[in-house]
Amino acid sequence: MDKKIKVPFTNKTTTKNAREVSVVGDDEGYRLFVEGVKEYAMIMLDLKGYVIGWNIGAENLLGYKEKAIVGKHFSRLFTLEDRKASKPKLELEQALETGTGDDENWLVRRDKSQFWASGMSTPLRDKAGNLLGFAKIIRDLSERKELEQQKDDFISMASHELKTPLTSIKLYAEILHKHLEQIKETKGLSHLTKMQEQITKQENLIRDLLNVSKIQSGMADYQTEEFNLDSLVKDTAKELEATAPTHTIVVEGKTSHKVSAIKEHIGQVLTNFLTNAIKYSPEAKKVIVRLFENKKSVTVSVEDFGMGIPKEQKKRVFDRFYRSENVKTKSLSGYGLGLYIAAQIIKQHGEQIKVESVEGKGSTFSFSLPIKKK
Amino acid sequence: MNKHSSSTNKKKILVADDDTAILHVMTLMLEDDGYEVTSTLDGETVQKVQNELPDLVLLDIWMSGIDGKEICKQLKSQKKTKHIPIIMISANKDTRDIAKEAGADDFIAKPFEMQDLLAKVEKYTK
Amino acid sequence: MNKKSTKELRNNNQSDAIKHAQDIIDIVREPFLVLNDALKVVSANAAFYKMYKVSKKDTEGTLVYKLGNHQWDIPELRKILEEVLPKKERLTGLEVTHDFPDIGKKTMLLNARKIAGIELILLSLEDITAQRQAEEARERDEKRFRAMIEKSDDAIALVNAAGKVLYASPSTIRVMGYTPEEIQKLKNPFELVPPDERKPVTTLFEQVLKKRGSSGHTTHRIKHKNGSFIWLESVMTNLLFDPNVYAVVINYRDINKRRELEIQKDEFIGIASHELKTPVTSIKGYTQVLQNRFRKDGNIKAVELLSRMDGQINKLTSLIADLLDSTKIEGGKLQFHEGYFDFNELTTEIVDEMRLTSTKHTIVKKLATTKTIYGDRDRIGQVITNLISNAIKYSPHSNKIIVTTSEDKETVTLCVQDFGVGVPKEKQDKVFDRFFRVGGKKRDTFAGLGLGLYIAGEIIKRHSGRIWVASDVKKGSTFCFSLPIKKGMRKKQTNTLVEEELKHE
Repeated sequence: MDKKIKVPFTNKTTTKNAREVSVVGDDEGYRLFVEGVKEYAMIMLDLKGYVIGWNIGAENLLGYKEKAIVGKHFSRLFTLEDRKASKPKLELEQALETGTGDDENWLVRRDKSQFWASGMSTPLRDKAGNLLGFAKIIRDLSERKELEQQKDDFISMASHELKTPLTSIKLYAEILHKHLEQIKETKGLSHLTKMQEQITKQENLIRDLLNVSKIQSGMADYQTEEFNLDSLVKDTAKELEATAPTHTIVVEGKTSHKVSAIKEHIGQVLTNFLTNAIKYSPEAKKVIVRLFENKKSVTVSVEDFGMGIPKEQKKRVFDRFYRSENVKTKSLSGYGLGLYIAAQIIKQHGEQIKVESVEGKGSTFSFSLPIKKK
Repeated sequence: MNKHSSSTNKKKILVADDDTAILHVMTLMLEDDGYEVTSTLDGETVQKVQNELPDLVLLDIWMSGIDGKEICKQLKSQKKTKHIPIIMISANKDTRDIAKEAGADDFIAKPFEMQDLLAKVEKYTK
Repeated sequence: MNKKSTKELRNNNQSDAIKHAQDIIDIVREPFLVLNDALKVVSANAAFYKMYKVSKKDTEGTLVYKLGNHQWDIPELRKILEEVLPKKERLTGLEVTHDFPDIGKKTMLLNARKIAGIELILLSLEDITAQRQAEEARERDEKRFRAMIEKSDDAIALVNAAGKVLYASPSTIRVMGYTPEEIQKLKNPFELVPPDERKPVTTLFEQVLKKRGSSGHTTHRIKHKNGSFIWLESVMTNLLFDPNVYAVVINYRDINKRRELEIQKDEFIGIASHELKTPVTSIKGYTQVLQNRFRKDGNIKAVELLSRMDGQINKLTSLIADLLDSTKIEGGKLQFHEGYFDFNELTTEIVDEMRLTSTKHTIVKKLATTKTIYGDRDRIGQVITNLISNAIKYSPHSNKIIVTTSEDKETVTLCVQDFGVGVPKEKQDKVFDRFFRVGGKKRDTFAGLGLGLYIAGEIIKRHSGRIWVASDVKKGSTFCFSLPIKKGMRKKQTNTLVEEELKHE
């Protein structure tokens, strides 16, 4: 027989037996290549999820020798929790449904240690479209996960650190305030009061900073629950009305369906909407909150009768924080982080905040949430 | 006590910043130091300065309506106003270049020490 | 010759031949049949009986097709025996697959030969079932592996030692926008990386080239065919010595979404900390205005309170500045304003300033001769400030800090020595990391974000300098940095592009 010298992944070959190379040699090149890759675990599964291929990278990453794992079901690589939730099965189903995807989750090594892995199953088909099995290419992302964690910890640490000097500043200001009251130093007192307002502003900013980082780092601490928006809206309105004697908050309409969301966060969106509405309609006496629904979703809108937002700036209300510092964005600075946070929260729920506004007449901010199907 | 005790000799300073608290506190600092201060939250007011020209303009780099850089360029390009010293203020140290580019005479970063602000103001109003 | 005698002779010959054949086939390992011209089995060997699970009694004298209850009525076999052999006398290597009711599906390799003169057919039936199954499985596997690479979300390229692309997988379209053919036309795949960001990628490639089997990964941007820049993670594996691959394998994973989210996070911190400066500016302003007024009025109590407040405001300010600087460093946006300045003069200035902030510590200066160096005066000043305040922070029970400068032909060096808690050996290479802090538990004692050293390290790096620490636990630490004196000694910086982009915004 002719001696074959394979040139993988090309149809070029030095052998005379060209047919054999293009059919076998070509594919074989892929196999040899996959087997040689060390940085990635490359695993092949049959139609039911049993391991049929296992490269050296998989051996390194997951600790099983090829012999020990081939023929076993790939679900053993998942955490007990994920197995209980049928994640392995769902992953294959999803792979068939969507064709491909990128997912991250914890996987378990042979020695039971866990690592943060990226890469979900991809269906493998031949040219005729017949399903051959699944491929799972896994990479260890523990290092990155840790860095992200550090980053998130860092932000909460940062806001904590910022609070420390601010607390003492606040206390000194209070002591000084009492002292000036005692000696009836009215002029100084009025300046000091203005300074204390700024201290409060600073406190709020730091709190917002922490909130955003919490929202951005995911919802780890929060649970999605089913609830009726009406009562949340009424409670929030009542709460804010108490702090703003200048405005009446009117709640109109009602909804009958429950939504599935993070209640604390939606509450925060409402608070931020109402705070802004009050703040930006100093001349007006009321704010109207409307609740309505259609077959698919429940909507809440907050309307104020204040200064409104000029047309050209409407878009910027939400995206100012994505912008470079060199761009002029200060005109809406008062909307500040509150609206940004609201937008982030609604985005995390897969929806968007809408704004309608006429300059000089007022603005309406709204968001919708899908109705929880029974 | 004040350096500019005679009221007729008081140097006039125009301060423009869109944060009311900062505007207020800068006014206090400068008035305490014997200057006559006009303050504005709105950048356009600065542009309209025609009568009673100030001896110095303190300009925040970002303003409502129009940005401080543009105002600075404009003042520096008009015959009537180009001699007026302008100190730009920004919370970002790195905008120093922008200030220079716009033709500003000096730059001061937020938050600043009162002494630093007063020293710079004095330097340009001598 | 009469007919009869010929026939007898033939019969004699035949029986001799049969006997002879029997001897042969008994020692042949492969299943073997001897048929006569009526296609009845004259003889079979042990291997045949064993393989096809039939007995000698049922076999000998039976028509071959009737063997094993007509299981052997195989169309291909009929064709060979009845059509091919009569004409050709010999047939080799014919593969026949048949599903036997008793023994299941078998693949046989048939070799048949008609022996002229004695009218016997020799038929060998090699069972190659297992072999074929294995081959099929392997072929299927190989198809799977191929599909795995081609259907993978990751783009895969094989390049030679010169960087030339030998192969690119179809996913390059999805990931980079270019077809595999277009990728192969490039001089090397690193051309897709923006020029100013190329260095780390090519450096990694060179490193990987050095050692067989080694691999490494990096995160970088490339210019997508549509003109946009996207973030990729490349993993390179050196399989140049693998006779089956002969290439460096580069795996590209699209991490754009993730990276953008990270950038967004950093940008947010940057802008938020910027936002934090506005109230702190007026708080500071009010404090100083009031302090000034009460000083004039002689209200000592108020002045005292306000000066304490001012101290805290400075702390807050520097925390905010650190926060902002660190996010700028992360985003490659820290700007430098460089020029020549007197190094000792700067050191003296900072030391004098720091003496005002700490009444507890005595800061001793030991300065070498004056030298003008090139760099960002404010940023270098920031480094010195950070090192001294760090020394103050981590030596609460001692009262001396020594600041030394020295020089040689090419560099100036500054060291800050304290006699405080020190840094354990195993942590010394981590003190310049962004998220590091010395006392995990003593958090409250040593407040501060711990960003100072990270920022200092980055500033020194950007000046092509060196920063390091020598320390003994409980005896104290010495933090030092050295800077090249002349501008010409500086290496070209890599993130000028980012700054350029910023300026043009």
